[in-house]
Amino acid sequence: MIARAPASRSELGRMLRNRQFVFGFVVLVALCTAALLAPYISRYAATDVDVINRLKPPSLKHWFGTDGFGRDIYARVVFGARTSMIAGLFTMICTVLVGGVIGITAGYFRGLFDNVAMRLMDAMMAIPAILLAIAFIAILGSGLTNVVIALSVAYVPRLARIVRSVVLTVREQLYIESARAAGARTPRILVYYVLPQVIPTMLVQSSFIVAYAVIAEAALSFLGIGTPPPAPSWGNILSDGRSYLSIAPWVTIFPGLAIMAIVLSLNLLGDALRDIIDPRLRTDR
Amino acid sequence: MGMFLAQRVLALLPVLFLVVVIAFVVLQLIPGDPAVVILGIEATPEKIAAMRTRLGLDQPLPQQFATYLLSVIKGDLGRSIFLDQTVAQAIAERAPVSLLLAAMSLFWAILLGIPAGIVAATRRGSAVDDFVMTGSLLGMSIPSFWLGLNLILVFGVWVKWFPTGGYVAASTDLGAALWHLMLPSLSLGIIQMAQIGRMTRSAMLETLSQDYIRTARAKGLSEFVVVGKHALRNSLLSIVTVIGIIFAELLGGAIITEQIFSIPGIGQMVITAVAQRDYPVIQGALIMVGAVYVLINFLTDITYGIIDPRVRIV
Repeated sequence: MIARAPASRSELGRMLRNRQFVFGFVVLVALCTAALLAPYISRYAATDVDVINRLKPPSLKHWFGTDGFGRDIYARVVFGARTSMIAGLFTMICTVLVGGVIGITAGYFRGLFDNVAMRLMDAMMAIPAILLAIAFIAILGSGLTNVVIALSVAYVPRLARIVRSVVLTVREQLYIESARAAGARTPRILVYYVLPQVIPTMLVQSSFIVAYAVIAEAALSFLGIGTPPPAPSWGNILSDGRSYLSIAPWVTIFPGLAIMAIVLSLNLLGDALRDIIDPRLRTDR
Repeated sequence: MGMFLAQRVLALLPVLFLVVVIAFVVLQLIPGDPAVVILGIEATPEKIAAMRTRLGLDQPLPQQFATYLLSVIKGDLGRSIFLDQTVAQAIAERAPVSLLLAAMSLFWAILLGIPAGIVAATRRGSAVDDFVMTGSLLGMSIPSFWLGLNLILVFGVWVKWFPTGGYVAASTDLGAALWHLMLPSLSLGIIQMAQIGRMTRSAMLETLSQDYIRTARAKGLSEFVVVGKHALRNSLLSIVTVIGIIFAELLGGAIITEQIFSIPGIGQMVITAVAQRDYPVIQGALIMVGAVYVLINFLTDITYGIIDPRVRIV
């Protein structure tokens, strides 16, 4: 069996020596910790209304200031991180599961299924992901679960195409032919010989999918068709802040910085993982 | 070249057909009766029956699809439920606005992205390269709508250089139209610039390592000619691909930017249609954007043939 070995010490060493990876990882862990510990690191609840203190600038009492209802922006940003991370994580899981299965089966079996599935993927990719997601939300209605479904539908074709291209190369390898000749059944070949070769690519793509999903969830909530208020989401905090942009810019600055930080960390992680897994695909130096 | 074009056109037809299928399926996936969803539960049975007839829901499914497909082929995308016009008219009115915004955003992205990528590749490992790569990574991580809000704050509210929103039709006053689109196009263009810059750098690095570039340098050609004539032309294939994809994405993806800057384009029409459950408009927008994407891909393929004649043979 020539399946890829699990991450060895040297691979771990390479990861730790990669500055992009370490920076991205540290920022991501910090943001995830903040999201998990939100009730413990914030003095206020995300929905606590305090109209006397509305639109207060950042201070020691309210680190990121307050919004139009006097709600603490810091609390809304850390609680909102949960929404964004749930959206990103579940979209990634659904996309990897569905897109992975379509990509592996289409690439391995080829033929009619491959042709039909890939033409369908092409047609879905012809529509920008955000527009396709909006169309599905128009059908399903708003809410976090529907956002995850809509975003997964939008990203599945992109992942399926990438996975299929990897499988097309893998299926021609000698060890796959040997496995077939040795009498291994198709499910065994797919799980033990093909899947391990696809996992590194899916791992790299996963970080980008989470990044896209975080931005898309924020965009949908900004438009008022994602996470419904008063539940905090970085997108709906930005949307609230839009009305006070000229007099209270802090309402939009901090959630925007949070989105940028998480997306930057995921992009760095994705780039670094790609460099570590396949140095031929390096985009930097 | 004729054979090459015919092959490309044939390859596009199934994708266009499936885009229509997706738009058709959107209406079928609505939980419950779409007519009730559109009109609300308080609508009278007569009104619901009339809406079902209007949407063709009283016919068997295969017949519904055949009718829909034939209408789309004839350019009839149905009639909007809330706008007093056909979907095709609504799209035709708003498409020029979105097209101008997308074109202007792409202009900024190319104007800044390609030179940045070339400079980064030719000065690989230098501070300039680091600056371009870090800048492009940051650019790719900024949500365009947040960048748009910040541009409004700085250039619209604080220094008051540009209008904070609104639109003037290009046919009325082209200068004013471009002036109003300055901030929205920059908010989209800066982010796409990051992608074009990265792709240009990566393509140029690969080309600059080829033997013929070494030969060109050995012949004593100036660095300007080596980079501009030999390296850039051979890197254009990948750059053109990215530019094509970006333009298509900009057309449909500028939804939020149109909303922030109150630009009456396709994006704003779609968001209003979602709020009003105007499904024919949503279906029409999906088909229009999908068809434009397919068309741009086709044009990109033709461009390949022009840039690299070997592509026509393959």
